[in-house]
Amino acid sequence: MRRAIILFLSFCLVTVLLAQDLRTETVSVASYSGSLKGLFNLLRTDESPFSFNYKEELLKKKYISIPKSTTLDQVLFQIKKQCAVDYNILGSSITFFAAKGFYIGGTVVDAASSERVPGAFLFLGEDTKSVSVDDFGDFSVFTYQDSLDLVIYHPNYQLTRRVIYPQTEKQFYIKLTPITSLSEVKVSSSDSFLIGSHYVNEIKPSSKPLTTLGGETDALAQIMLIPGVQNVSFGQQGLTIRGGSPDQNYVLIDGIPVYNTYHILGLFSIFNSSNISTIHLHKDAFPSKNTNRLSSVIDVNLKNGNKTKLSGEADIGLLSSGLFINGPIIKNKLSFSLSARRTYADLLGRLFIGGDNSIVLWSYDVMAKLHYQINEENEVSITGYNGGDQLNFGTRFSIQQETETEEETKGKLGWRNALVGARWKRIVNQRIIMELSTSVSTYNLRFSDEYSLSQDSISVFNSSSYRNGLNEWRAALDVGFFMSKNHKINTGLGMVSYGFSPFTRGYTSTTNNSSSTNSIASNFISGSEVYGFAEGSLYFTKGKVIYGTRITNFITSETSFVRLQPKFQLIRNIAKNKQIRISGQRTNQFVHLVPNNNLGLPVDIWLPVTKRLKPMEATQFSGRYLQKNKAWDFQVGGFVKLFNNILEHTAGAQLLSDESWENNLYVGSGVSYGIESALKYTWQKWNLYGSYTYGRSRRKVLGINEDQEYFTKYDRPHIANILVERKWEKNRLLASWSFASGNPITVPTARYRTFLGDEEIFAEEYGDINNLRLPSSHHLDISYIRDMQLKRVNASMVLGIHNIYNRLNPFMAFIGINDEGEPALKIRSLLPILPSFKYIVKF
Amino acid sequence: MKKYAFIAVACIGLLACEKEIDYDASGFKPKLVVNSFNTQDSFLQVDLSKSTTLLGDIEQSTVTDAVDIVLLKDNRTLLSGTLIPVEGRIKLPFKPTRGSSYQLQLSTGNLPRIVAIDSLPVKLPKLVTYGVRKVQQTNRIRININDSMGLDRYFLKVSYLGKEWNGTDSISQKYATTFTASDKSFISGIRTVATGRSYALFTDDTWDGEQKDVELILPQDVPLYPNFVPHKIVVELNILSPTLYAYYLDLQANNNVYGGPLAAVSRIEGNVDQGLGAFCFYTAVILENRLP
Repeated sequence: MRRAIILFLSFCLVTVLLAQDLRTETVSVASYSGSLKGLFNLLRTDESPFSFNYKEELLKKKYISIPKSTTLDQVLFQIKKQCAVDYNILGSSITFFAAKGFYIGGTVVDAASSERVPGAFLFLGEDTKSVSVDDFGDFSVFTYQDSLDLVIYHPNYQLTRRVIYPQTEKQFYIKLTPITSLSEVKVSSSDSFLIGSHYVNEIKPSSKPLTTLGGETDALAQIMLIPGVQNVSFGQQGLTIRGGSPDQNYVLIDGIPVYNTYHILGLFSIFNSSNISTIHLHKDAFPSKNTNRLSSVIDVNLKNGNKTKLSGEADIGLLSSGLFINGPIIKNKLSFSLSARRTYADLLGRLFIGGDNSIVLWSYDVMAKLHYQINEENEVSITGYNGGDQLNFGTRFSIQQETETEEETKGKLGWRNALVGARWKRIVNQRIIMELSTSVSTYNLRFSDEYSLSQDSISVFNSSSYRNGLNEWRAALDVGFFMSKNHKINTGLGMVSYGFSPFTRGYTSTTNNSSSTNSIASNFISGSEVYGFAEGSLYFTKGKVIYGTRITNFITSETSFVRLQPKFQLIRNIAKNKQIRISGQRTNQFVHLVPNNNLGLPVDIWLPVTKRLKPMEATQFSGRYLQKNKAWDFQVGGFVKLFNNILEHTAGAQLLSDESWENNLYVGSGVSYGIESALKYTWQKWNLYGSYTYGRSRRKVLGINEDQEYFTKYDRPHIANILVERKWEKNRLLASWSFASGNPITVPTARYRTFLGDEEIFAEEYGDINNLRLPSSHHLDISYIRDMQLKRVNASMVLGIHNIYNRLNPFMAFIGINDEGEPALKIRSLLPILPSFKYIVKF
Repeated sequence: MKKYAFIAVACIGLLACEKEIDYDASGFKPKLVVNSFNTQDSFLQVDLSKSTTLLGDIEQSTVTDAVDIVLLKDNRTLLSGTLIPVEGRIKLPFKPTRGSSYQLQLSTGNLPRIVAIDSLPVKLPKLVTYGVRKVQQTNRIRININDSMGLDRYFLKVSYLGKEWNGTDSISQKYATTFTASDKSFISGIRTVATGRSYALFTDDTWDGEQKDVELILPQDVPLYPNFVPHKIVVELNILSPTLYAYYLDLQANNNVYGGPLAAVSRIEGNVDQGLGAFCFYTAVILENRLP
């Protein structure tokens, strides 16, 4: 028996040694590109010390491209990699058979906090293919290799290398160490060049959050530097992207829509960057799941929370103060993140102005998330957001003479966003990921006015109120799976239920003897949306094709619409550091924003499509060229967007309280087109970023402007941004300059005198729409950020100046008097040169 | 002092700066402007002017040329001829009757010929006032509006009647005064709350067919006229034609701001075809109450 074992082992050893010899056998193959069978014929010469065994079917339709090889081992590696053909070497005989592939999945996390790290790139050993990690730090790869030498790159983390064995490891975590906590560790120049030559990605203006007015670190500040994106106009709220209106942007917090994204006339967004994990702007080809807006999808994801220790930051600034805290509830399992922010102009106001009269304005936002990593396959998260703006004013009057009299008036105007949603993600296996989600989102505006009087035994209370809003409830099931090693499909079904309340007015009168309550409300409008989508990503050697469609059925009580929203995108590397992207997509929008100012303030009312107002539609074609070099990134592209069923409103629109609001809206078509470019240059400690956009936006609407085409109020032909960033070890200096051509506004062509009762009024007659272009807007902002290490905590101080050369950028126009005492058309500007300050403590 | 400090801080933050910009008035075409607001028991009156360029001098826009006029009542011609306005005003010897429809046609010079149609409401407002009382720096008057069934559009204005002194001489004068009301159905928008108005524009949609007791709160003085001594409070309640109500709403929404988020969405339409302004009707009740 022992002899037999020794003999067997000796045979194995000889076989292995022979195989070892074979592997190192020199083969003389010049670079080859062609069929696998052709390669075999090339290798199988009379002098070859090896023979091949295989089934003919195995070689069918298999093609290979190999560089000049010196050893058989290198050739076999390429055969396995490119043709999925594995081999066994027994003596001098090599047997080929279909290779067994492995799907592996994993998650990239921060080593310190276990927070997921999106935006990392994985390089698969000797394979030149790179894989990008998704917004949740997850990735999936298919490989035929027995072992993979993974290199994980992220600009903010130390370069990490890990060898994995797909046969035994299917799901794993990769922990990255932040560079900031390792001051001596830097990505070497040779590594960064190697990595830089492997992938091409969209240019980000900066790797860190940017500061905005008052020193706020606004999460949307970076987005506004991206070509094609701009503020509606200086001092106003909302983003206009490629000539579209602000309501055409689909803003999501962890996949849940939010309907008002700015505080205080657009001074800063509702997104406190301390609690934001990622923000993705999609303006070319939107994910097929979210093709229900015309201009963009802005996908904001909150942090899951530190799973190992409690951490956070608190800040105090000129405009607001905030707190962000996150940490484990069950270590490495259940974590939370919570951020809260409030402006305090009202508190300062109370401090300075006491007395019985008051006007206060404040805004707040609270974002929270619970994340439970049940096991490697299952995770559950709950996201909540509540925020809004509030303007309160009131008077109080009391006397104590013969009788005691107390009289009080109160007025309140405020809007609120509130949302909550839950998501369950399950990795069914390495090929299939499933996600089930549900959410509720509401937007409400409320105005109320109260009067109360108490005088001895007399008591009077009267109030009136107005409110409008919408609520939506949604549920969705998404499934992502690999059809084959190069073909990934994301698909899903969803349902949304909407409720719109255009207006409700109430009136209450209460005295000692009587009480009456009356209210009048517009018809509550309900709608529902059922959709299904499928999106495929087909990978090939030099890029990928993304194709997909969404089919949507939007139903209201009076009508129903079915729309198909197809999408196509080609991403093709034309060299290691050059890429082109071409895309086409159709999108539809079923809810829209109707502006109203019956209250004397800009008020948003969301309303659905109707029988007469059909879903808005946009068809977009875009192309882009991207280039990435060691020090600089460059991209240039263009787009054409054709709009249909676009809504415009016109004269005499008492939209707020008029049931016939629908008749005040007109339907038309439009076109937007433009060229966008961006350049980023990184040199030593400097980061320079510039973007330029030339874009036009036109509309033609029957019933408006005598049916003639006109430029929209979002038409600003030239937009340019420059960001200069200088980093020191603990300091950062930012200078940001933004320029935008003036936008067209409608000014009257004539004026006349009329009367409202006895009051003399100067009224206006209007001619063409958008007939005057305002002067261009530009401003230079400078911020200095200093990181400090205190005894127990780290701190940062932000000092800055907004609009440093005090440019008077137009906010609105009006008729005033010039220096000669003559009537003149004037612009009024807000936000002149302003200091900013913020102090942040991190713990 | 603290107040001024706060205002200074606020001014740094939201300082409003102004700058003149160019305006091209080359596309301007003048139109005839009609201001004719008529009630029962008063002779019809039409004020005529011309529109000016946006930066033009409105004071010089009064029409003084001869005007060809046609007036129809319930589609029957009341008047057809040529009249010369006196300081832009034409007085017609007709008192409108409730429920009747009137059509006005006018042309003068090279201005386009205008046509305007409106009807005098059938209903008369039912208003009762009670005594005035003084509370600290305010005068307060309680009124009762007895609404009839059907949608009514109201306009309430309050004035002081008194004497304006110039040395030892005095003349009788009436000045509109701002007021607030305990009743909140008068308040149609934040602008009405934030700024004092001498009128209230409202409908009965939340109290149709009911009675409403309202206390009006007036300042004791008319600040712009320091030599004016009020003796009476005049409360006037109108029921407006739908056309006039819509016109007033448009005027109320107009804030003479162009561009930006505060620009008025609505434009002032009026009911004058090929012209501007309004030719409208209302019924009115006016009650006077002596100050204590």
